[in-house]
Amino acid sequence: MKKLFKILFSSLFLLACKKTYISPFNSPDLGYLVVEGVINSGPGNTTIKLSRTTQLTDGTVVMESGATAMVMDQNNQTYPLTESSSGEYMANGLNLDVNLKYRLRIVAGGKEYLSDYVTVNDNPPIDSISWNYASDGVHLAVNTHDPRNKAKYFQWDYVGTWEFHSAYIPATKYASNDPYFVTYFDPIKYWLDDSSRYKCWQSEASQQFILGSTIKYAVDTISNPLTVIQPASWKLSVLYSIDVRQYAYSKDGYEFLNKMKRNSEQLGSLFDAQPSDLQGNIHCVSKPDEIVIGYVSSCPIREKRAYISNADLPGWGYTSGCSLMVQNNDSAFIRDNDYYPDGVTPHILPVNYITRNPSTPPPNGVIFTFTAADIGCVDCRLKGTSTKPAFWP
Amino acid sequence: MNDCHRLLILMVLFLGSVFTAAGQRKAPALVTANFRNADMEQFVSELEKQTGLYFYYDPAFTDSIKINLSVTSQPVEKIMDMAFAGSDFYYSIDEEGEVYITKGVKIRVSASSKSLSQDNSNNQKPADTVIFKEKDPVEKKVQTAPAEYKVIEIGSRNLIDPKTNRATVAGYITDIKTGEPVSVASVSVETLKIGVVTDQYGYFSLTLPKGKNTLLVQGIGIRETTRKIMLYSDGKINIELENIVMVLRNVTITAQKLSNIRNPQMGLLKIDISAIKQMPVVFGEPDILKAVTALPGVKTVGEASTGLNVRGGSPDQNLILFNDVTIFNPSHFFGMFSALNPEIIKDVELFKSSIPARYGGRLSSVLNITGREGNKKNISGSAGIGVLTSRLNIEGPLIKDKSSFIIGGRTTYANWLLNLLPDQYKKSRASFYDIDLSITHQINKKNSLYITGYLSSDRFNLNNDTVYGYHNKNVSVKWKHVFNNKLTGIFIMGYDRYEYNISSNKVPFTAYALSFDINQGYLRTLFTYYLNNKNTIEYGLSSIFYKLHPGSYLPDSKESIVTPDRIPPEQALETAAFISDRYTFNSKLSAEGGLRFSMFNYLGPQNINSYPPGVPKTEDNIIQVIPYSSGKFIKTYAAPEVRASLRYAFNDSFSVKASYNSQEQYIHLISNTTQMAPTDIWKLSDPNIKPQSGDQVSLGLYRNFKSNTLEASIEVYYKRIRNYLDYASGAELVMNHHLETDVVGTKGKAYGVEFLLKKTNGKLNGWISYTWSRVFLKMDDSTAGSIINKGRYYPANYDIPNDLTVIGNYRVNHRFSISLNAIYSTGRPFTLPIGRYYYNNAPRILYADRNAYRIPDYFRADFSMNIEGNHRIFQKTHNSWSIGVYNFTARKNAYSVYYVSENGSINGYKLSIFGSAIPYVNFNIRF
Repeated sequence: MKKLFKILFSSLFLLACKKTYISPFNSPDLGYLVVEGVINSGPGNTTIKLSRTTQLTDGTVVMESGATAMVMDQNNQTYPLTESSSGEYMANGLNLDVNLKYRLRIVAGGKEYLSDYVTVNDNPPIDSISWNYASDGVHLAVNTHDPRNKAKYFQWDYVGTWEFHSAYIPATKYASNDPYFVTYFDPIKYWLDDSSRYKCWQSEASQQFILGSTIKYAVDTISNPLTVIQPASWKLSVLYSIDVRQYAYSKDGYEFLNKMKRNSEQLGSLFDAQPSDLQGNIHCVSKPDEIVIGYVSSCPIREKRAYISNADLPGWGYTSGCSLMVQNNDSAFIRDNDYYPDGVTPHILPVNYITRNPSTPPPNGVIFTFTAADIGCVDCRLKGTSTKPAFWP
Repeated sequence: MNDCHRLLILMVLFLGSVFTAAGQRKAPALVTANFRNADMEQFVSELEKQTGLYFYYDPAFTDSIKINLSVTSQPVEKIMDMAFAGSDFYYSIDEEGEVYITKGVKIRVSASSKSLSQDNSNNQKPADTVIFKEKDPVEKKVQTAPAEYKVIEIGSRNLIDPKTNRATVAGYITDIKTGEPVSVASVSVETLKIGVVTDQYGYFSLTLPKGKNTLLVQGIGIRETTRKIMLYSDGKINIELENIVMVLRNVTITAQKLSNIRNPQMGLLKIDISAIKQMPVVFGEPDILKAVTALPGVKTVGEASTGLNVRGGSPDQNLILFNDVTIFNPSHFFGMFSALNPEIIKDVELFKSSIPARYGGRLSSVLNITGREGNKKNISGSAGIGVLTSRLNIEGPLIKDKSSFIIGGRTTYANWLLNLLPDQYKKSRASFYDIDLSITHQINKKNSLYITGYLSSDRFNLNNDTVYGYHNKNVSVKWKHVFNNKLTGIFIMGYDRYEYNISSNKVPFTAYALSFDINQGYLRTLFTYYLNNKNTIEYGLSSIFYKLHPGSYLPDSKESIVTPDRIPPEQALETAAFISDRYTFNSKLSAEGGLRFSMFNYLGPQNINSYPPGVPKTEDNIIQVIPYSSGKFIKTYAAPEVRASLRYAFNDSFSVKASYNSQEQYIHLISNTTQMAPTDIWKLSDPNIKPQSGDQVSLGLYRNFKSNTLEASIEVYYKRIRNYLDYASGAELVMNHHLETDVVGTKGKAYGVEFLLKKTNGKLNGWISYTWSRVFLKMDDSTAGSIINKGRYYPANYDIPNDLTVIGNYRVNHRFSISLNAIYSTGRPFTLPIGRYYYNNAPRILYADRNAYRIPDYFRADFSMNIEGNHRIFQKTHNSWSIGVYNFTARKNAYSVYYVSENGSINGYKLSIFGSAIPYVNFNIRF
């Protein structure tokens, strides 16, 4: 009976019946211009990304290279942006006069695009980035207040960076003259010479829109959730750092982002709003009907970084998921089995010796049996970069 | 001697309604009096005072007489001789000192009349009413000649008015067992091809040639019967009828068998509650609104929705009346069940093309749900247990044969079941209940009082701390007065309320409570005047006062920093006057014409945003905010509404009908979700939001086969809608202080053709309906807001072109029947993404034209078995089981299709609500 009720209720409660839908309709290849970025009125960088829309089934990102982009003020003074990498147009330290209005001018694909003039929005500095260690993970939040009560609409994005280590420090390696034979390897030397295989970093940028508004609050104070790091996640196995950037928007700009967020992140429940078309503030001069996606806005971009260490999280419970296997040092076996499934690049690396020729101690002599582990457990570069970020402590 | 005979004689003796005056039986005394222009009442009361005699007379016939007489110590006979000299008044005095004053004829006073008048001590009972019991179940031993063979005299042969050879007979048809009125029974005289149908109170009025007539009474679930009458003058006859016992109080699906051909009303669909109970439904909850969606021309956007789309109308364009109260949200559980308890409902009528002039205020349809009246004879009730809800209803007399009550309640016990769910659902809670109460009181033969109360309540939260609640509260009092055989009046007063609230207090810092409510108080009158057999005139007034609290957003904890925000209340007055006439040219041609004039006044206090003409209504374009003081008429809209229909019957089984209808609607439900949500907001028309208006022409052919047991019809319609409110792209509707900026007035057009084939009797019954219809909206006025789909017509959310429904029931025997539903419809439109792009480090979806594509087609088949306990009448309880499977093919019908950006890719999903076969068991007991 209990089971029957479960069946009844899982079917009532919607999520049980969500299935992948493959559209029978082909979407056209339209290639509309997409403009993303904020004119940074402060000392930092201004980056405007230009790209094109693609077919729904086409997963590639088509950046718009070779375009001209510039910021213009009301007095027609221009601040050119230069293409720093494909489709990314940058200017350094514009330090704009906040009393003027600005717009973006783009020439791409032989057409001229102009945004509406926008005022520079107030954007107070970020007060703090706080975190809270709960049973369902570490909750990170950004805290801001505007004593002047002017900034009401915020967007944040962040880049999370974390250090992580390989599970094992090897004391053996494949011999340089015989890639299928395991020889000694000095772990001290490894530390000194080849630390790049042990200590790595990975980073990840926010993908969801993080939007918040103080319009419904009496005081211009907001504590907005950023992300949750799942319990025992490798992101906090050593040290995690988050770099949060804060943008302030006008009501219209905020609405634009909110619509885009709702259109792509918040649909599907029974009472969610239906998708709506986006009206940005950028227009094609020669063809006003053409769809241009993007809303140009300007403010001083605020940035703040915070760190969380594994030491602050008792019982975090990170495990590498790695395990060791014991193997005879047998070239033929190593060559023909999982160690080199393609015969060229190793997938399993030796970790330590178990038995060796007792008459010749390391670093010389022959190893009879050894332990081995998956390459990712020994060489961290498979899951990140071994280049230490410049800001890392 | 049985009752009938006694009453018959009484009727012949007493002319008109009898007034009696108090007095004592004494020997006649001498009278001294001076009458100056005295009327009959003054005259009689003076005589009674002085003589102690009882006088019986009919004021209706004696109001013309004026008596001028001065007498001293005269016997009463002498005085009356003098007073009535030269008039056609006569008097008779019996041995008991009772005086009968009659007009036109002198009556003979006999011993039997004397004993009768003593028996009949209840002098209030109008004596011209013949209570004719077909068969008294209590006095079974009394040998009565069947009522059919007796001739009942109506009126008085002494009162024959030579100026007319016609007279009106009126009365009530009631159920002999429960005393409940029998509505939609047909009362006709076959030889004359004259017939009427009883109204919801069981009342009928029929004008016939004087002389011998045979009334034929037919109806659903009642034994057909006839009454031979001898009609002398206007009079009443009440007929108590027997049910067809074998099916208890409920019977099979039937619409008005005779009326689908004869009735000039077009597009009127009626379903009996027993048909609704037979239909297999999800979780076995008999559902009125789901049953209505099986009718041609009625659609719904999804199976978890009880919002009805009637002939291309939106859900808020339906006026849902339950015993005259307006139900703003007729659903429970966010739309999965309808909030009307089937146990206390008698029948459901849906007007979708010609809407009678007495109804107004909504564009598409009127769904008139009539509750049952309580049993006037004994206490009885029923109870049911289902998978999700239990229900109980009790009914019975308050005063036997005069007043009764019926109360029904339902509640759910889903919470403990939710605990069995996997962890991610465990925090969900859902509960609802509804209570309906009706009290009927027959004050006397001319006055009846009806009181209805309705309450429904829902509380729901799904996996988070946000609690949704919504409630309907309604009460109405109705007084029905029969002025005379030809004129009846109904006076209704009531109050309706709908509210919802959302609160969240998990985080004390941002705890909030959001609430909304709509209230209306109303007063309605409806007079029905049966002018003659050719004309039935209805007229009346309706007035509604609205008060809305469009939203308040308040902090819900001490720490909360939420700014309290209240949208000022809105108030308005909607008034309408209407008149209509149903005119029968001859037995083939009849017509109904009506005019309704409605007026809407938006009232202060209010602050009105003013926008310059010719620019879109946006926040930036507000040039001025004009304050209006309390009670000020801020804006008045008024419009005439035309209701006309025509019927031509080629013969008894084939007719053609046409109708034209126009409507105004001053109150709007604003929603940007796919289906009607409890948190959608109602908005009154104001200076910035014009009323919706619409009109419709329709034409239908009706043909009955096999002696009216098989009914076929085809109806086509074309409809125009103006100022239908669609949401602007990305509209924010909650707590919006300037809602006019987020809605756009669209034009709409809808057309379609509906086929219905229905078999009403026999072992196999049910219907097949097929509808082909389209509905398009258009927003092309750039000065009114942003254009949708470049100003072209786009399909509305509920544009569902093909819709095929098969509802079947096969009665294997009297205790066992099986039912099968099959439903196929085109998928509804949705907005398909046409491309993707990267923004904020993730792929995003590019949507284009609104509603340009469709979700997959819908098909569902359900099955149920209904098992009745034994049918002996005299057992304490009757029980029944229904066992069924909803969606037994387990097809995963798409409720919606949507795309989300997740983990760096764009994924499309199809959401099914009832994506598997859902079995159910339901147990009902009647006592």
